[in-house]
Amino acid sequence: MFSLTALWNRIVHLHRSDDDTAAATFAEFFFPRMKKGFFLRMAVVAVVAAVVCKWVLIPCFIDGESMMPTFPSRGFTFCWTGKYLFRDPARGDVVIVKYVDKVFFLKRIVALPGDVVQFRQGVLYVNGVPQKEPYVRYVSNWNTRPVKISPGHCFVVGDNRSQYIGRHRFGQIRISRIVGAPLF
Amino acid sequence: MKKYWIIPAAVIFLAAAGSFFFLSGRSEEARIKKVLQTLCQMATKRPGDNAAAAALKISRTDRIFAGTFTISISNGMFNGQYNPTQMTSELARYRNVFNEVEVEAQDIEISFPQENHAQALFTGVLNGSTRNGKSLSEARDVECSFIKTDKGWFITRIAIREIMEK
Repeated sequence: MFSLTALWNRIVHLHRSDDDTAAATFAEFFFPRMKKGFFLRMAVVAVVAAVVCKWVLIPCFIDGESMMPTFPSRGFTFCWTGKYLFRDPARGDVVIVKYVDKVFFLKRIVALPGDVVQFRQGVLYVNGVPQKEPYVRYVSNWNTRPVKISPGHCFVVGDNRSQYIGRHRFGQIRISRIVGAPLF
Repeated sequence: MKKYWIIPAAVIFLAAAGSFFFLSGRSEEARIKKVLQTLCQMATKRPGDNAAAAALKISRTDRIFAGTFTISISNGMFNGQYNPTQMTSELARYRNVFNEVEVEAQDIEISFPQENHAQALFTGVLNGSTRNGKSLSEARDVECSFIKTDKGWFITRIAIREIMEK
């Protein structure tokens, strides 16, 4: 009769054999012996994973329609924080903006410091010039007043401009709020 | 085997040195952060706070605010110049609106534009419920200017803005 004890004995038996058969390798990989080296490796992996997930590739769940159709309303991505280590954010970049702890916004930069931004009948104007935005697929009728972007700030907006303007979070943010860009 | 003790010893030494540096509050940044922490504590009201404790807490405004300071809130009605005494009464009125409220400063960036002057940029987060049962959860960009005197750092200006300003 199958039992956990029997399974365990089988694993122990496999470990005791000094051969390098596939079965032994399989057992060593999936049922490693609880020795000092194993715990040390586990600790190193845990620390590296924690550091990477906290500062390098932050896992992010997408929940919202503001970047449709470029990003789905529900999804998953990683925030790559190294993207702007050696270059400044540019117009057209999709960025991840920190709002508060554990809450980020996925938006697109459409204007930089000194630019004047305005929406007229859903068309984005930067410095009075209408912008071609192939990533915007849905019809919009937004109208806003012209806004001059302050130094150290940029203007971010989602690709889904069909949302009601009062519900869509967009506007001028501090560039230092940009934590990175989506990895995919 | 003995050589392996060097690693934990070095880690412990670094942790102790780091703790001493930060906890002793020797750096100017740590002092400014402490002022901001006091400001947040003044604005925080916990369910168990009694009137005497609250009065004691908000009576310390002269320890963090300069003799005259400015408040600037986008689309706000509290804009203008205040002194610490006025601020105490404003804080009492503000706290009275809430059943409980917690104010927190996140992502603090401190710079020193000139000697004895500092500027702190941070995210002010407010979570609470009003007396009429409405829940509030708000975050704003806050910019604080400081001046240094013999007694420490004092707030001279607070500007509060939307994080994403349309």
